[in-house]
Amino acid sequence: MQTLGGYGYIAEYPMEQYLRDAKIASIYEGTNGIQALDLLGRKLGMKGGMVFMQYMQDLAAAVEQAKGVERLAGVAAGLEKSQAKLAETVMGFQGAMASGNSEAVWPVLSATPFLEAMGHVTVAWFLADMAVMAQGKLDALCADKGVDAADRKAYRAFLGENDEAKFLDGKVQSAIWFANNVLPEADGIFKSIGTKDLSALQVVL
Amino acid sequence: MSHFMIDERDMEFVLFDWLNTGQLASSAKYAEAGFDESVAREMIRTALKLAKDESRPSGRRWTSRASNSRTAKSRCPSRSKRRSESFAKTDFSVSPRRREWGGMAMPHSLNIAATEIFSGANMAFTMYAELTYGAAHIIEAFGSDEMKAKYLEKMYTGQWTGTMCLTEPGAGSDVGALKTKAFPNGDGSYHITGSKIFISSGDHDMTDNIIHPVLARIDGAPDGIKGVSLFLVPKYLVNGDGRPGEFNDVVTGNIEHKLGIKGNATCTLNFGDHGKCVGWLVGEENKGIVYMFQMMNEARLYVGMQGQSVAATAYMNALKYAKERIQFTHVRDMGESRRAARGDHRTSGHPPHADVHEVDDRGHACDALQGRAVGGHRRNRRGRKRKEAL
Ligand SMILES: Cc1cc2nc3c(=O)[nH]c(=O)nc-3n(C[C@H](O)[C@H](O)[C@H](O)COP(=O)(O)OP(=O)(O)OC[C@H]3O[C@@H](n4cnc5c(N)ncnc54)[C@H](O)[C@@H]3O)c2cc1C
Repeated sequence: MQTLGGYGYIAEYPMEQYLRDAKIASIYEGTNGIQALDLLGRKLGMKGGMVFMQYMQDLAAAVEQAKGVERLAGVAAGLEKSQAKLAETVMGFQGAMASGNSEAVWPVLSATPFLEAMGHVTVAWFLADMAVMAQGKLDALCADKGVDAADRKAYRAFLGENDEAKFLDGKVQSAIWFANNVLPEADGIFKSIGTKDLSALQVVL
Repeated sequence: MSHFMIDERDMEFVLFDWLNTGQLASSAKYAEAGFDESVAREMIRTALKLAKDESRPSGRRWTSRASNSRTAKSRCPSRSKRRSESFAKTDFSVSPRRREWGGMAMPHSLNIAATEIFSGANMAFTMYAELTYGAAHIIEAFGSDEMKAKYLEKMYTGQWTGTMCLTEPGAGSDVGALKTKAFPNGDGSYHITGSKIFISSGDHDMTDNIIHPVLARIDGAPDGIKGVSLFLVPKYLVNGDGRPGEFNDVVTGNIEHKLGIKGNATCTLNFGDHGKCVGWLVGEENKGIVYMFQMMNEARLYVGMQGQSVAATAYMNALKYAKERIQFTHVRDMGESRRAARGDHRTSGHPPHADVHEVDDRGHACDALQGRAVGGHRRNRRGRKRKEAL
């Protein structure tokens, strides 16, 4: 809607309907708040924590793969950093919930931002995973067509004329963009969760 | 023209390159059903065609009325019935189900991809199909043989639709607080009374029966979620010949006016106000939430997919717009055709930039413009060409 400006807001274009239609998704079939509590209370501890462990292992494997692709070095580094913060946060939650004292309410208060941060990490991971594959195909395509990717001008011209190359390059750029522009927000969220702030419960309403 | 747009190459990449769905052909289960990558690609093509041809901006012409008939039916836009029939014929919503129930035994990932396409084209309508799938799947997984024979094929082939009835005025996120009650009739059936609210696809006239899975508490059962059982409550009782018969006292009390998904009727359903609503227990007593969770988990994945589907078509529309939108432009030559076009928009009510597209598309006045794509730092391609021409 923002891209379309005023035209996005009026019914002539489908954007206003998309916005209205999509809003229900955060409300029905478990509100976002309930989904966040479900992630925290049911999913993280599912099968004695084995499901989450598997998640972390698969994520680490994807990071290793991304490290092997030159253009994705920054993506891999960003993901590795965010994964460490995710692990630290979950360990903190486990300690607090086991503590049995007033700190046990901290993970519950943090559930919604935690859902958001873990969502960012997961999306960055999937984009990176797809980018690894896309870069492999792109390299093969360049080799096939005799294009030298290091020659910026020739490479850009190639993207302009070859739809498949343009698409594959776009997949890589998407992963880079997300890792640089959105993933750091997850780090910020983990940081804010780390303050263990309980003021929302202490305020007198 | 449909507003729906999707990046088809990206969908292919995800399905066939990244997830390697074609590889599933090596499993005996899918090979037996005739699945291979070319079949999968053909299914996706068919889904795209159906979505583009059949979907219009939905929800704008939805009319609903609380009629004075006992059933207070909600009326669907006239196109909906046709759309629902053509949709049902493709069997997409049931593609992963077993053949004996009308399915195609195809991999679930294909069903998800097709659903993303349909939902992007018309989220409100696609909900009818998805809820039907989930409700029928409960019957397939937990229902008695009699229930399967009565309902499954009809639902999986889209002849009847389904819902999920959990929410009540006092029980939203806290489902265990529900008050709808079930009293045994002594013949294995139950008498149901209570009110459910916000029921998606709750009532409509697209099909001649609607099957409601309803969470209710059997008289005397414990409080909270542990005392909740699941019942099947058809809108019309099913006759011996398998056809819908007598009205089962499921009265639509209200159809909500709401922000979006206006093409999907969100209903208050009153069960048994006239003492004549019959339901049949699914599985065992007090295990209702366990069975319902199968549908809820499917619906949760589906809701995530809804977000993705709408975001995808929104992105593609925004991208197209940004590429075409020309602003901060030096107009060097206001040709006659362009002036005429500008005049047009005042009478036709098109926004001015749409005329620019039209003029552009007809090849008129292009060389008069030197544009930049809004939000992009690169010169708009058309603009660049024009500048070169000048
Ligand atoms: C268009 C539409 C279609 C729907 N379709 C269906 C349907 O087909 N079938 C059906 O059964 N229902 C349906 N619903 C109902 C929907 O699932 C509920 O509205 C939803 O579960 C929230 O319940 P509620 O409205 O009572 O809100 P509440 O439960 O009152 O929630 C209000 C707010 O409080 C928060 N909250 C609630 N409990 C807690 C807690 N313990 N801790 C922290 N925060 C909490 C929630 O996250 C939310 O932000 C539909 C609703 C709509 C609007």
